[in-house]
Amino acid sequence: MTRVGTALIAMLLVMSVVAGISVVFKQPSGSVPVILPSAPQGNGSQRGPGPFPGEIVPLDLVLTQLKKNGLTLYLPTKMADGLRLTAVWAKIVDGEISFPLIVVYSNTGDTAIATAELAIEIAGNSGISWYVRDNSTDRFDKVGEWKAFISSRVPIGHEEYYFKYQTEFAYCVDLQIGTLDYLFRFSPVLTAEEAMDISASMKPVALQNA
Amino acid sequence: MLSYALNYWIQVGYTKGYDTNYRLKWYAEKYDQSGYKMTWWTSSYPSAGATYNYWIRRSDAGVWTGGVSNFWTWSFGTLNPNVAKDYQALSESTSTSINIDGTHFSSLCVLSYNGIDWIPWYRHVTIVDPPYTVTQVSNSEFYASGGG
Repeated sequence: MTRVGTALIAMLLVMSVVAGISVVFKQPSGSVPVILPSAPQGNGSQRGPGPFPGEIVPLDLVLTQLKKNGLTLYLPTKMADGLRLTAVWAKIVDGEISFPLIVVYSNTGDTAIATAELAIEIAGNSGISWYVRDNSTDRFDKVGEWKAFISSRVPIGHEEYYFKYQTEFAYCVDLQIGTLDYLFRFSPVLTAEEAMDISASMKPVALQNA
Repeated sequence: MLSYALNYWIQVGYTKGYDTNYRLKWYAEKYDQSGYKMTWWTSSYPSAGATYNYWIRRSDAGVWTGGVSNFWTWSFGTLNPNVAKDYQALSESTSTSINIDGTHFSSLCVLSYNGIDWIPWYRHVTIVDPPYTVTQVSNSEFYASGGG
């Protein structure tokens, strides 16, 4: 799939209050884009969004810039056997790190957002924006001292995820810690118990070279 | 974008392909915890060379609507999760043999706190796949071309 485009990078902490988008678009008068099915993973998507418009950056760079903005990053201090942090994805806008950030962990060296065994998406905290859709799988709870939404059945829209795990579902935990929101996507290689242990182990991360 | 990790989104646009019998058609689609849903708008159709205002917004009650000004509006209902984390404007093709000269996005805006004023985009990241090119006019306007 070939794309051209641009993504608005909302400023730190204000993205959650902006709730709409408007675009004026002139259709090409000659040949126009022909868009064919591109996401056969079972969600039926024929169009879909562009990819994450960011790159892999050093964790210390993220920590430095968050600190400059008065923010503290939390990450898990407990991890399932074999899983290690493989990449921190961030958008760089005008030389600055911008939300959302995505931190991925893998036991196979996987750095991809779509397929890493654990992905944590970090954004401004606007309060828990989930609702309980199905009482048998979803609930509001506390994890550690933090408000949380927990679901054992969240479909994932990445076709690569389906191909890797042979399921479209993940176990998800959404945590509100301070001014930031942490959305955990646990792949099926992790048990629910491991997911809860990892989520509950969040601690502030210190700069290694501070 | 509702989530990059989950690949959840809400979108309005137009398309042309085998599933539209190669006629331009407007559509609205979303993917969230409830799954994927898409609808074609069949009461009117876009014209090549014309300019349209595409929009998506969330009400105070958390209900998302979108459409094309003066033509159609679609209600997506409440999504799960129900907050946008990012915004995109893009043109997409399935083959580099497709020429997109004349593509022009302008007045890219976000809705302000008050739910009334539309504020021009003030920051952006550009992504371009060859052989296409993007010509930036400002944070809220660009042209795209190439291919064919």
